[in-house]
Amino acid sequence: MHYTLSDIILDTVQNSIEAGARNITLLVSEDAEKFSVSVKDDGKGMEASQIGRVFDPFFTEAGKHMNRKVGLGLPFLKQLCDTTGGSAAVESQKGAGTLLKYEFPLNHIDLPPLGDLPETILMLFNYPGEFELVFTRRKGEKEYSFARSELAEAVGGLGNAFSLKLAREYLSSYGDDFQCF
Amino acid sequence: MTAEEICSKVGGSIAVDAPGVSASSVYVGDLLSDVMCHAGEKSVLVTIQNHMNTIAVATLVKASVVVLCHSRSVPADMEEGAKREGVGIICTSLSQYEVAQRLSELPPSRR
Repeated sequence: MHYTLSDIILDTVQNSIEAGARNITLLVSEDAEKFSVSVKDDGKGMEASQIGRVFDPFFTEAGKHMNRKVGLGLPFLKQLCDTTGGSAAVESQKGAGTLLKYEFPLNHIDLPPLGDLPETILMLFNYPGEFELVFTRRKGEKEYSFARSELAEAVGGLGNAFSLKLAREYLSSYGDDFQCF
Repeated sequence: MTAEEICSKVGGSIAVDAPGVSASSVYVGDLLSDVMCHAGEKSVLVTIQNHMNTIAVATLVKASVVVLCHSRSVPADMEEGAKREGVGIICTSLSQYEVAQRLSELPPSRR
């Protein structure tokens, strides 16, 4: 399993980017009882036969990982669901995209901390490739959204240390509302 | 140290035999992403994580043997994966700390 929930978010959005998605929407929300994440993409999608195996660590796309035959992102997610009483579900269609949803009860003692969500979002925004990523953070009545393209335009691109610093400051300025717990 | 010797030292039982494997170091950890970063080749992984992912991580780091503590049972998919990948599993009623004490002649695993 992972140190933080942000590590899981990073893994699951990276899967969308690596599936060749042009458009990804990430929703991270919570209410009084649960922490929920939804990742929707228009990547290459999966056959029905693949969907049933995505939580198997020994099932991974050929060539995805150099020098290793295991893929652990979704298996770690499944393990955390098993441990905390959470749930995860995948819907996918070959050639159309994938929707991954997962949630965890906030009151479980073994639920990892959220971790550094602003830095995680920044890492995802800065991932190489031509794609749009719209991130939404929702907590109760409050909701914030950022698009990769909007942030890149606002700080003059995400490709250098100065603009990254600006982007980090911008995302972090949301403070507790962004981090939440 | 062979799987049989490890089993004897921890007073456990062999759930999945791995004939011919031996271990030369020990890593104790329940957080598998941490194990991925720090456990080394030919190590004994001491953990409570009775999950298929433990075998996947053991395979990744080339650990030889998993010692499952606190009498945790071995799920069928974990057993099957361990047999297929040649990773031994030993079950014991001891805690991780007690197992580490009993295997103290082996050095800590590092990467």
